[in-house]
Amino acid sequence: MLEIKDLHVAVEGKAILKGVNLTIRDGEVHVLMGPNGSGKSTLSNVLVGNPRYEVTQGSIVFNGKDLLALTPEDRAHEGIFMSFQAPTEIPGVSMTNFLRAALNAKRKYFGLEPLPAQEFLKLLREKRQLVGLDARFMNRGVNEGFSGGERKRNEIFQMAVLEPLFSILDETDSGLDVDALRTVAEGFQSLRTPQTSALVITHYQRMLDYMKPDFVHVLADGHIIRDGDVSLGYEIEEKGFEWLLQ
Amino acid sequence: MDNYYIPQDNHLTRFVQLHGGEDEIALTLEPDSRLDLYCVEQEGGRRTVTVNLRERAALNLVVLTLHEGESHLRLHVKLLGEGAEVSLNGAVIGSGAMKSEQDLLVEHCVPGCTSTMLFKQVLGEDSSGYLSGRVLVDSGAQQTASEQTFASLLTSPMARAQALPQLEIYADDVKCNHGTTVGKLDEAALFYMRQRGIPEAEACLLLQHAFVGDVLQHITDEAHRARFTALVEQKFRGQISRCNVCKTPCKQ
Ligand SMILES: Nc1ncnc2c1ncn2[C@@H]1O[C@H](COP(=O)(O)OP(=O)(O)OP(=O)(O)O)[C@@H](O)[C@H]1O
Ligand SMILES: [Mg+2]
Repeated sequence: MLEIKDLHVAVEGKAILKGVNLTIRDGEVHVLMGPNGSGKSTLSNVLVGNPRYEVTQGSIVFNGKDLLALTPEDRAHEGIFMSFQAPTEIPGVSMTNFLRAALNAKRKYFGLEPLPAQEFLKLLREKRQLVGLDARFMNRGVNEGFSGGERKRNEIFQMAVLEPLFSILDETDSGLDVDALRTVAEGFQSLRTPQTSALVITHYQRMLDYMKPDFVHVLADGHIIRDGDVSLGYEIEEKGFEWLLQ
Repeated sequence: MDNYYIPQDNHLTRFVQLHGGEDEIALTLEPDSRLDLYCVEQEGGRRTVTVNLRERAALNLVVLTLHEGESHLRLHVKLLGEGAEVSLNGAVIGSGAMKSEQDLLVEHCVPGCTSTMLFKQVLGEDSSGYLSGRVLVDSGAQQTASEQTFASLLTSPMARAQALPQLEIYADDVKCNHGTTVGKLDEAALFYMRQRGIPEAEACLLLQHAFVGDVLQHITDEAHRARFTALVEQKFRGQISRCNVCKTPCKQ
């Protein structure tokens, strides 16, 4: 599904990623851990084409396509979704209008007509229930006045509506209370198919429990310094990163 | 000169299209009357609107500026009767070499009146927009409440915005506020939308539409609001040039 080779990235002239290699196959869930500032969100942002991040070297191939050559919107249509670490507020653009625009743009990309209004509203209702998001949020501006936890829940709701092939969850667990995390994680699991994959960024063991990742990677100072299975994640929870950095 | 005279206790809604040349409109609102006036400036020109409001009369004005020429709107409101209310709202959407100037003056002559100004401009290409709002509170006009909000969004590096709210207060028991902002499209919001698959042009359009959304909310009548919303959308999509919104065929 995704193949990252020797990826170097700079932000405002400063090198952040210094040769990252990562391969994610269909159906796999990978967890990415690493100290604050190690470049996890940078990697996520590069995958979704955030123009603030400059790729200085390396390649990313997504389902046979040169990902770096695609616009952010085309990457989304090809099936990449990011649950933002800090989702943005868009006052005045209602959730409903926002998702209608997103969904219909994707349909257009695949030569399909816009979804009829009734079907669209039905879809929103189903997906809201899946992640436990109240109907009253639909007429509000995107994330406008949402609490931290509500924003995170809203990210997974959008993921449920857009049905991506590859999802990046950048600290989606932080900000969610215990019950909300369970609901959101169960929602996430129910969306999984043998064709979908995910890259999950987290600092916490609870997320490892819920995600049941196939692989765990540790990013430090712009390099992946360790790959392992879920036991690596638990070891980090216990011992911290220090022992890996030596 | 168009004279509108709103008799006591009457409630009226009017839609006015402003074309080139000079226009003068004089409005008198008798006690307890209400006028909802919705105007579209679809060609450049000079407009002067003077309004007198008697006791408890209410004027709700929404002006939409869509042309690519030069326009000057001078609005002079006198609150002459206690309890009168005026709500002045405008959205300027500039493209091409448009020059728009909105010159607003509200005089609070008696106690207990309310005035609000909400003007927003989205300026693209080489357009420029100038907003000037002056609120004058006479010494006898206690318990005046007034608010001025001017906000500009620049969507091109060549576009220019100016906003100048002014308060002149000669009474002591008043509540007057003003706020001015000038900004660009929110990059983070744009990227968020693109990540969800909304093409950049469409995302810009949604943000611009949202920016003037609260001005359009002042159109209380649903049919008129839908009409204005559609005009705004067409303008943002570049589907309006000069006067193809007119019912009468254009000279061009
Ligand atoms: N837009 C930006 N402008 C300037 N510096 C940035 C920007 N984005 C990231 N950086 C810098 O790049 C480095 C990596 O940041 P990044 O957000 O990728 O870390 P992270 O691993 O996600 O950390 P955390 O666990 O705290 O979320 C940091 O030093 C950060 O300050
Ligand atoms: Mg981060």
